[in-house]
Amino acid sequence: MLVYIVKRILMTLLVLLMVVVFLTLLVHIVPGDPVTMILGPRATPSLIAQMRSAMDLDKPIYVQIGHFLWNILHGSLGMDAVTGVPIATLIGSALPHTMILAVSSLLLAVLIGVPIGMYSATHTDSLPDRILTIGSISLTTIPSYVAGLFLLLIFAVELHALPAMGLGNAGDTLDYIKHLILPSIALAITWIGYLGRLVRTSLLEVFNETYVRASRAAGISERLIRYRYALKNALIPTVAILGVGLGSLMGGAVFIEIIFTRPGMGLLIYNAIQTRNYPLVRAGVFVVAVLFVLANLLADLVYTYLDPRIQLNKRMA
Amino acid sequence: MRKNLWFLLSLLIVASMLIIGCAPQATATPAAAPAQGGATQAPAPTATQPPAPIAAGPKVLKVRIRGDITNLDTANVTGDVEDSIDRAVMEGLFRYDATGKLVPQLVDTYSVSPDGLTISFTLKKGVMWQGGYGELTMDDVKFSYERFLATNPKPAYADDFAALDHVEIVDQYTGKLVLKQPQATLWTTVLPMTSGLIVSKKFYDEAGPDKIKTDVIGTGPYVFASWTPKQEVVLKRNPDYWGPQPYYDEIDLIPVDDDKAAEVALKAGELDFSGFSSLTTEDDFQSDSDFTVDVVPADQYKWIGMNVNSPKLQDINVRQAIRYGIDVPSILAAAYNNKVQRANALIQPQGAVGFWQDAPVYNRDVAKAKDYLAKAGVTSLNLSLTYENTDEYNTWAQIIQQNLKDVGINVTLNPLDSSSFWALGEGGKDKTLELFELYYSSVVPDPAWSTQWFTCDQVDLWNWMRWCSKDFDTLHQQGLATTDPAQRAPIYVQMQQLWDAEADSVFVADQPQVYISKAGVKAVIYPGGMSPMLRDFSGQ
Amino acid sequence: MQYFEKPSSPLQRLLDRIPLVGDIVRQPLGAIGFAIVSLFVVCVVFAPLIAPYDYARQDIPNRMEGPSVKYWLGTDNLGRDLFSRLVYGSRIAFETALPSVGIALIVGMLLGLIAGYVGGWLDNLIVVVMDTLQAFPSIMLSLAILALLGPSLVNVIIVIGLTWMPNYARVVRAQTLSIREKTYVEAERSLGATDRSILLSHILPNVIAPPLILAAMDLPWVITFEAGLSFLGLGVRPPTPSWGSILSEGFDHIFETPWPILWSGLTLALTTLGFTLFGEALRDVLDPRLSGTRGL
Repeated sequence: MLVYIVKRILMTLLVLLMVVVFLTLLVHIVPGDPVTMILGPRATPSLIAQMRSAMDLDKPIYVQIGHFLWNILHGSLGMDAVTGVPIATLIGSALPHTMILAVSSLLLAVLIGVPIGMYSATHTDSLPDRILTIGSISLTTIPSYVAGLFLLLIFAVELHALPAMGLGNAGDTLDYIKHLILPSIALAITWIGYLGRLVRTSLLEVFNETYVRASRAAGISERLIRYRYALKNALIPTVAILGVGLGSLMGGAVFIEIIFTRPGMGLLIYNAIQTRNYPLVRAGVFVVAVLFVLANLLADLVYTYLDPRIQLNKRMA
Repeated sequence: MRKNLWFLLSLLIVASMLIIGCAPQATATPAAAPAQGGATQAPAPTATQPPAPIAAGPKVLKVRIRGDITNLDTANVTGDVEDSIDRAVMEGLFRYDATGKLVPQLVDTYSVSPDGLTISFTLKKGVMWQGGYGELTMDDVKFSYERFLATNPKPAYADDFAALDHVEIVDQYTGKLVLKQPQATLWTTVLPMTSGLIVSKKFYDEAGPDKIKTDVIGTGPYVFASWTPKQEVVLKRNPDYWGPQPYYDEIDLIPVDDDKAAEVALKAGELDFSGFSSLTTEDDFQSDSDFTVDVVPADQYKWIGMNVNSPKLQDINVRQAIRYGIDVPSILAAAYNNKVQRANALIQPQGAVGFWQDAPVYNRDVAKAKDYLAKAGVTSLNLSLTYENTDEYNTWAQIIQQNLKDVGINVTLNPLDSSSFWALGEGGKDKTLELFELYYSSVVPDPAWSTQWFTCDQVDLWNWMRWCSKDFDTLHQQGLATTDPAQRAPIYVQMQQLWDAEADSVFVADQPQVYISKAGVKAVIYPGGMSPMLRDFSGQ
Repeated sequence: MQYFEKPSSPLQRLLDRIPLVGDIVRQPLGAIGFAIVSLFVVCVVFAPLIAPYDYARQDIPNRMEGPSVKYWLGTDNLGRDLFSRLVYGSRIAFETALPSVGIALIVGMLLGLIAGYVGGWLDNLIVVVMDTLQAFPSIMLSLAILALLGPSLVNVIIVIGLTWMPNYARVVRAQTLSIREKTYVEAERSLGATDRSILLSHILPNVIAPPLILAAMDLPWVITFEAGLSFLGLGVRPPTPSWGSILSEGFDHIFETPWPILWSGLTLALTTLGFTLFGEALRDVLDPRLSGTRGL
């Protein structure tokens, strides 16, 4: 187990290194120039040269990579050449909002999806089960941006019921939550359907397993079996998937943050790509990649821990 | 082991909560606002109250800005967002007042020598810098203006003080601006606008070149209290201001890139004031008594350009064919709901110095266009149309494409994202362009600001038509050296006539700025229409 | 001489069951999926016959109108017929989804086979590269690459192919690994079979079914992904009517008319649903063991 974990972590570090190399390479050949965009039409050649140098754009690729890694080892993401503010500050002000969005969507998905799956599995082939099953499948197939636009159209534009943009007034928690409702529902919809299906399937699998049948035969009450034994086991894949989910929700957040103009990581990176602010793109995507990889690693480890049946060496595949 | 499941699940949730909770709260707390330090971390709940009606709480104005701030340094200022902030915090020797008249601000008395080359003045006494940076003196004035003469790096707005020789200090409060030659723009767009603002030498020396991009102090009625990237800039009333106190206690500037989002926010009461460059739902607001709509003429011109150096467009007949092939009214209908004026020449808006009243209007005439094509001996023509990938310009492009199809010209659309598009203005990357959609605007009201991009030395930079005319250039210089508006006007009309004869452009729109304020907010806009004069905003 | 009985390959099973449609349609959800997919295919093939107007035809005086007899689903901001644009949009969805899944499938399978069969440092290299590609949310990877390549249909296809490919490589690699160790393969090798013949006659037929099913399941995701990129203005060029660009143009005029968002959103969701139901039915018929392995 320990060997596996160490190996897995080393692999993760290697992947992150590759991510940095890949991003630097990518960023080096992207057309479009950040400098004219940042300095405006009146930029003078000497200003342009100064800005290029501040962004490291005049240095060879290996120097850029070295610089970036050196900075990271010293706990810094560098300075943003555009505003002269540490990039960590920009990311620090964006990341929490994306995390809050992702976590609240995940909570919504768990709170709604798991009961749906449980109900379905315990009432197989009943009419509600069929409706819920079709409903779940339909939910999984609605892209988050379509859900976001529909919610925006209905609740913000037509009904004026909920706010459509931004975070709300700084420090006003209630207002913040109000601004979180539509985006997190939009992002959660796919996952509600997905968890509903997943829980149903895994519960049904567990119901058929020997020990459940044995306990049933031993006269343990059906209710106890269902909620005590079966559910616990059925939730294992759910837990595993949640780690992955957190990562993939961060990706889905790009659309949602654009539609609802939430100043999170997605919008930050999207804008940085649009303005060709290379160092910010690289640092931003790097941070997301770190979180993404860590979430996957965590999910993997939790899964392994919960379900010793998994053969560790095969998980590497 | 499985017993731990619920424990782990809750651990996971708690952990993610912790991550969120521990994430650094990014709030820039500038030196200038020691008293208000950390204001964004724990703002008083009263900040949510609407401005005017409640007497008890502080009066807060929530203003939309089009994007986050990037560079507030007056010599390198990025755009109209930074302009508005700078002019609320800092002050210049002169300013435009709320009615658009040039008036002294930091100068007490001043006089101009008969040849116009020496401006002598005395400063107001006892004007204090914010944040304990002492009193305003001639040292600050000299520093502020002579910075523009630096060569390494040469500041972006160096041209604004191209005529300045040096600033002479007579004593602490008395000095002279000594010019090398007359410069018409000095009195219209430099001294009363952003480049003319006085910065604190001491603060600039202390802060260094990076910090001044996002932190400023001034002598003005508002203090730059805090900046939370992408979220808000907070200006607070300067209690020690030398002049009359402004109406609002606090101005929150909230970056909203998207016009639609800003509309929603206005309607939801999340904003009190917002500017729009094009607002298709203007009627909605006009009919709503909760809002006041101001349509302010601005110098914002949009046109379809043709690269005269392109082999396919060298023949003026082809360009004529295109000019007659495009239906500008359709573009105005589809892209602007007919809410903007059609432009027929460069200088806008109507009534500005150099506005060409009798500019010819080219209406669509497919037969005529085909004749011109035939005259050019062209049977089939494929052109690319390059534009910035936004809804507005996409709409233009698709109409142009359909219009020219009828003439027999096949247009391929080439939308570029903003940075790739504007990067064409560097090092002659525009060489390969054929047709393009372009828009420039002047923050300041002066015709020379519009003509400056189309001279010969702007080829390879911002003169994308690549039309180079010595006569045009001579007139441009003449216009700059002439200070009497009555004499300047005919010069600029003549320049536009030269341009029109070249048939390399189809002017489309002269776009006014639309400003929407919540009822009870009285907005004031600088001349030129591009930026709100935040310090003069008041309740009605 | 054949000492060992070779298991019938999934490919063989697939071929045995060519009248698949019957099996799929027998499941109620499969039937719904089949119906939607058929409708989609009909739109792709007969778009010019079904659409009442050219997708680029403008009618500016009648812009942003609701559904009417003349324009069944209403018009967009240039007065173009939404119904016609949606019908033609199916072609764009098809033209992107099929080649991009194809690229992902072929390149992924190739890499998976090499990694699994050759092993050693090459295997490690491929695994690390795949891990790296999967270390970003796919949308961010695509955003970055599309900023590099510029928006166009071909670039979108390449980007989607690239982002989806690691999934296929993984599946094929795992399968190859397990089959390589099977007794009958070992036996053939000891009998002097070349790598080429082992790969072609034993491994390939045995690993091909799971990625094919995966491809069928991926189609709807690729369609929504393309629409998402077009929504961000990174997909096809105007006036080509991608569902995503219709959605995006609708978003630009959300206060003026709800119809473009409504119709294109519904079309997208319905198509995805159809393909998902169809794909799942196909999977259940072909390889019931894979049930529930994938859904995202």
